[in-house]
Amino acid sequence: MLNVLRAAWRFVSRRSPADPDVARELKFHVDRHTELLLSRGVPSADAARLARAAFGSVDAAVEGCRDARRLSWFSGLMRDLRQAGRSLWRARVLTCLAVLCLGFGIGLDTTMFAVVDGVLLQPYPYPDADRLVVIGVTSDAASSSQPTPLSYPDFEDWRARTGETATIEAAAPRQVALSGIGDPVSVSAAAVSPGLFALIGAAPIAGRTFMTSDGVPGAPDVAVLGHDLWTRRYGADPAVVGRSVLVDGRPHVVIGVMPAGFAFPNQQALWTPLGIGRGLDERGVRTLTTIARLASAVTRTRATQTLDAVAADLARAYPATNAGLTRASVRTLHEAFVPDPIPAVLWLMFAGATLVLFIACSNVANLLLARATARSHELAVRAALGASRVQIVRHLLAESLLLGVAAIPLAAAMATLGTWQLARMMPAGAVPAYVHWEMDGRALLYASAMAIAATVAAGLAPAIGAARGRLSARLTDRSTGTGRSVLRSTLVAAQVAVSLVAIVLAVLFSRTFDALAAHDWGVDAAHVLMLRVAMTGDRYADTDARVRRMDDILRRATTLPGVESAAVSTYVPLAGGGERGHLDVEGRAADPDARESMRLVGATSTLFDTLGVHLVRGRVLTPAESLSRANIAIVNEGLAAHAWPGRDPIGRRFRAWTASTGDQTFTVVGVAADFGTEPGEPHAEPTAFVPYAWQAAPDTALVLRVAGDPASAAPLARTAIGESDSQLPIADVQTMPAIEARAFWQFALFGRVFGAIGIAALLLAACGVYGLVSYAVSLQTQEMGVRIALGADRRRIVMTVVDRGVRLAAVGIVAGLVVAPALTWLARGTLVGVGPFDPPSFALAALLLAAMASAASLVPAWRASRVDAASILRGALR
Amino acid sequence: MPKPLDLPQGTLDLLILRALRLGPQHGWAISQRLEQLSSAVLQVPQGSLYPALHRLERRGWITSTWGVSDHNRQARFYELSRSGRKQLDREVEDWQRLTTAVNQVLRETES
Repeated sequence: MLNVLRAAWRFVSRRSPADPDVARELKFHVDRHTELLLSRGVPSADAARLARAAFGSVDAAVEGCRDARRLSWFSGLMRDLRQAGRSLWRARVLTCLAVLCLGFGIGLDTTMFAVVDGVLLQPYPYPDADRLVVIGVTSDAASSSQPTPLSYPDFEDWRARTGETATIEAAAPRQVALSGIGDPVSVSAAAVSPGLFALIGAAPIAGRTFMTSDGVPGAPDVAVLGHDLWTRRYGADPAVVGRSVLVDGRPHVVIGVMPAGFAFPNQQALWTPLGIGRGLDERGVRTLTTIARLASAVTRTRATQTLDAVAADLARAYPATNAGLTRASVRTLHEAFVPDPIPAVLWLMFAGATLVLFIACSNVANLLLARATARSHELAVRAALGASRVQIVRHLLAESLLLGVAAIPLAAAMATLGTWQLARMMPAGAVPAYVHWEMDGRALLYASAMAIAATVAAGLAPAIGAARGRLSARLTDRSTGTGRSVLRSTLVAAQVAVSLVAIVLAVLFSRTFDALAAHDWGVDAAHVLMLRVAMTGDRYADTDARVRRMDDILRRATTLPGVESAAVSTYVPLAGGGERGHLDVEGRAADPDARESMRLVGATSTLFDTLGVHLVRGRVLTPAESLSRANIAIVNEGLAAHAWPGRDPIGRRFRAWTASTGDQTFTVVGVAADFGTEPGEPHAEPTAFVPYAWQAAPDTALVLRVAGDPASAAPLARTAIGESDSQLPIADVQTMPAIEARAFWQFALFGRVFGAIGIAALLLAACGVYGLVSYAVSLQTQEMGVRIALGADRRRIVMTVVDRGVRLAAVGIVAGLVVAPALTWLARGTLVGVGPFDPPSFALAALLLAAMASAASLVPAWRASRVDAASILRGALR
Repeated sequence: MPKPLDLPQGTLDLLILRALRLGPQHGWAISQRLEQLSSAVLQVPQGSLYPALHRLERRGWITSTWGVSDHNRQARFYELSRSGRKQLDREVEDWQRLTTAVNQVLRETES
């Protein structure tokens, strides 16, 4: 940067050699003058000296000629900028206001640009990332629904059949226990097919990645470490490569370390080869993230056609597991990892911020228009002294350009703060590791481009206005030009309209957030603590081992001081868990397409007491039943209403299918009140709570109800788990209130961002109205003085002025009310508890703006009414 | 004798164009003519004449050719172009209106 500046300075300051023609011309002049003086009798010794004195500096003349001949745009610009700098310095207050306005608007816009850029625009950090796609399958009917992942047998078949169209690799994310060196921890890991690293173009910084021989049965267990894990757990020691660590209790040799920032597919920190056992041979177990690199000549459409054919083939060949999954889903990395409606909301935020920038920009345009009007005499004099219209326009544009440049540092500082603040509001692990944003070079470039575009746009109208019109008219006429005042009023009305849109969005999103915060989850959460363990590895390969372990932990936890109730459950409200499956109600026609989805949860009898959920009908399981494989279940109201509407579910039977249990029939013994119901839904997802032994998942949670602060019970509970099995990693410890607060971080973020946009829009529009009204008042000071002198009521004067501002705002409000629904409709997918056309929200925004306009007009109105009539009249008579 | 007046910025162009209306001239002759025409009231620093000439040429209002002066030496001669003639008319008209207006203002303020 410094080098560029130095080079630029050398370029500017360089003195090019004098044009020989010019030198000759000037010499002729001096010689001729010398001759004249000689002919008048001046002694020859003095004549040359006197002639040179009369001529003045030859160097200056040479330089002047050079400037005049080839007045390069650059030196012209420099001169304009110098002059512009001086005239901006003379109007310091106005300059500061304009720079503040612009810096604020651009800063906000740049913040949102950085976020949109980081999340949606920047390619993923893999070579040729645009050729990478994520593959899944869908049914014909539901093209809009989430695609279903592939199973391992599916993946093998796809691989064999796609041929030259694409290379396919897969990753199966899972949670593993890492021990051997240091405390046992639960780590996000992925079993990946050996070619995956090569496919996405990721190379290790130490050691190697997998080879095909690592994936075959009987090969020694190996693992690749993520950079973060390597530095945190092993002190970035390169000697870790080659050593053995325990993954799920089995020794694995570390063969390589990946570079910082690599966390494929999402947040993973450890990779093992895919293909060794692990129950992946089931075609119905769909857990793979399948990624393909399309061959360079293949378009996405053609690839989709080929893959569709494969999906249809497999659906025919394996109707039991693949029926209906006849189409391939081919998504870009962005589509797969940043799912709807995040992109829509981000674009909406960006649009909102750009609207604020527009408001800021029109404020600056209005300031410059007012200034141009006040300066019309200065400009007329400039024109009279020989400045061409182009020169005047250029001079004025140079001023706006300078304003823009001055706003850039402010905008960059604001955007740095804004991006940092936004990143801080996101919980860890909420987005894939490589999604990040910062005030980087691209954002700075964007800010600079916006600053220049905004100021030139803001400066263009006044500049052209100043250059137009006849010189003499401007020299003598003191009127302000009605055309310009119409333009100014239009700008302010547009500002109000745009603010209305921004405020409506802000109100809708804060109401959404309020609705979610006030939502009753049906859980008495204040004293509930949740600890999720990760029972992975050979020791826990057997379901009974998991049941025994959790039973032991539960016994120990129940006797802890302060614990009122303890339960074991695979599902925790808002934190997820349980297993998805299909529901068949006994007595209904078994139509495979009409099977409803449900959630199967393994839990002990005390879960409902612990969560404070009451039983609507029937009974809870006995402690003995919860650890058995009795075919009995407690269903929630959602399942009961769905399966047996209007009838008593007790004693009825249903069949549930899940990947881990297969088909099982359960008899309903009790109905629990719904909990974890999504806002706006009448019922919770159909859920059956079955004895824990049916569903003893590796990631089971211990749920505790304690007497005081749930967080304070965490150390004791950890100790209890450690006493039961010192090698068992605890994956997650959270209090229920924290889970509730975290569940809606996106909405909290949307609410805050749109809130900031709304407030900024309101304030900037207030500045706009205030500026216009007070300027109008300043032009009418004399008239006001005369009116007051003639006995006009000061209150009437106030009313007249306020009326003007409010009328202007009314036009803007009406225009905004017409436009806003189009934008709020775009946000409908993310609104909860409030419609996109919610009348009270629109009314509130309109009222806010009307109040703002009155307040903003009141100040100049009050000033107008305080005009000292006597001094005005003296001024008028003079 | 009153002090010679400095030229207001921008008027030099007008005066040069006016001086050239009488026919092609080289720079020194123009400076002499301006001094004579203004009865030595307007002081044109001779050095500043040339940047103005070159500027006018760049704008296409005058053209220049090298020729032989009456003292039989090489000199650069300037001549008014067609657009220069029109520009001169415009500037003269503007100037007169300006001075009329200014005079009017001055008279009113005095009375």
